[in-house]
Amino acid sequence: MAPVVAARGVSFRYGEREVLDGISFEVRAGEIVTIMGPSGCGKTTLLRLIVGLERPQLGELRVLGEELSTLDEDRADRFRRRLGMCFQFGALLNSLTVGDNLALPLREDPRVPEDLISIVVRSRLSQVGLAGAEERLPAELSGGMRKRAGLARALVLDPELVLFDEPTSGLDPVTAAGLDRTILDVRRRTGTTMVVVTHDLASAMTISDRLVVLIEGRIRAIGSPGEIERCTDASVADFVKRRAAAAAAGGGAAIVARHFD
Amino acid sequence: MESPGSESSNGAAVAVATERLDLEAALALAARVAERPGPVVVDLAAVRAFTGAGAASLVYLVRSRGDGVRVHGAPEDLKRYLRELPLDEIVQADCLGCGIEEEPFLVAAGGGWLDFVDGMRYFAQLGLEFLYWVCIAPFRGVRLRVGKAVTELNRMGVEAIPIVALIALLMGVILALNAAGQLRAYGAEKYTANLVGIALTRELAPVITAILVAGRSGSAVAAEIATMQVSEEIDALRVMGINPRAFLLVPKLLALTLGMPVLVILASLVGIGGGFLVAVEALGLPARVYWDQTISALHVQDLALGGIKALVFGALVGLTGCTLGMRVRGGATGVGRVTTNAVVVSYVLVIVANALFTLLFFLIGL
Repeated sequence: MAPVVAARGVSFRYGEREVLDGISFEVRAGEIVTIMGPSGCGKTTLLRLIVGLERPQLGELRVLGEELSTLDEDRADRFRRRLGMCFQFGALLNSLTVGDNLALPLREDPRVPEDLISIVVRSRLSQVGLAGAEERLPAELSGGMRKRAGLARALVLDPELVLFDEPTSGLDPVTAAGLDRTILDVRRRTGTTMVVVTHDLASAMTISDRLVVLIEGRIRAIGSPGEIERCTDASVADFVKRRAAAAAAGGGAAIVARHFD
Repeated sequence: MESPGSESSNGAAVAVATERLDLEAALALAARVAERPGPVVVDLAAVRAFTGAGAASLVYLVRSRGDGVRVHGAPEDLKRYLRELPLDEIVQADCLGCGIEEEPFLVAAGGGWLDFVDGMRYFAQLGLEFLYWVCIAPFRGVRLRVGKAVTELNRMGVEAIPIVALIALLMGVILALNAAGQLRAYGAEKYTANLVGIALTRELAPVITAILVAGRSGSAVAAEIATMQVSEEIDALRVMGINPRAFLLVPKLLALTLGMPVLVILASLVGIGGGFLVAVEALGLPARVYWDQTISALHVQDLALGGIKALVFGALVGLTGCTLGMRVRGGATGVGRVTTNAVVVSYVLVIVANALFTLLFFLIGL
């Protein structure tokens, strides 16, 4: 089966700054692949390339068999309806209710009756634990609820590939773990392929089938969570060690446990 | 309670916090701890209240001194606050602003010009696209979002009527008073009506209305689009397969382009009414004479010229707001900057366009 995402030598730069340098990797159908790396390593840029919000300057990037950079705007818009993306801060349209946010992509298709839209919206919200929130405005939701509403909107068109930008950032550990469970639950029920960008090592180890470690715009390792933990590449080992140490020693709970009577 | 700087029983230096652990107390505490090279015990038994900065200072102490710091007697609510703090992310940004480098002057100036040219290109492209979405796309089966355009028309047009009418009325009054003052010397007060009617319909009503709409709605369009851009809402639309220009910008442009001529006609009528009030009530000109003079002075072409100007000014104000909003950079600062720029650029474009129109109409004898 053809890979859902296939990157071959993809490079991208903002002005003089090389953000991605010759990236090659594949995401297979049904997988959850997490792209990890320190801040500014090009993770989010790679996600924006996959979804076609940016175009690679070198190399080939095929998503669901299509090379997005070769499509004109109309075809790219139609193609993107096969994808879903969960943005870092939800990116819900603030002027619309949660229900209208979810209904937006459905209403673009004039064949879908309003009653069906209503059922789809309510069931999607229920799946992410937001039943009854359809009349609320995004400003009335907490950070975690906004992310879950963003996930519900990403799933509303039954996409073949869902992309997540830092799904657990800004959430407390309990809420973050809940979101991880929701992601795994969605994959279990629908078999949807997912690409996740995160710097949360614990979350990545929990949800991923494979991890891609991106450091300074280059892929340093690809493998299962266990393989990444055992990786001998110095930069990868150093990154994993520092993230683990930050998680263990940098958290407020750890500080209280270690230093307070 | 031990005094500041005294020694604890195990020999480690002791720093005692005050009753309220706020930024001031935290700085004093940090200074005392910094004087001690060895292990430190921070005694918080006296603390009854704390602020976010005070709690953060404890994190700073622990992170800077590592295992050499021991905290004693911290209140439970402080411990709970620290446990819930997402420090893993907070400490990611080790040095806020460290990554910002000043650009050399020539690079900044060159970049500014390239940015300007790029902005002009976007402006022109958006203008052509607007014509496509309004004039061609509906005939190819792509629906025009009339409902959204009507909502925008209400917001930008109908809600602007009171302020436009008030300013137009005052413009008519001012114009009539000044004109009558000059014309009286020649016994030609009745021509006040001609001057007010022509000046308002051809020049003042379109320009004043455009300036009011630019300040009121052009800035709002820029701010709304820019906010949506920085909060990734525009990206979210694109990922959902929704063209943000057709979905967001075209209804606003349509509302401004169609709403402006209506507002200009209204402003002209109200302005003429203002002139009428002055002429009849203050100068004693017979009402019948004023209306006859106005009707004889105004021709269809004057109304048409005002209408053409209004259409173009509406499009210019809308295109400026949309272009600047879509091309915003940075967060809240960027939104503020494009909002201001939208007003200033719209004013300049409206005045320049008006000068060009007036010159053109003069040359072709209209």
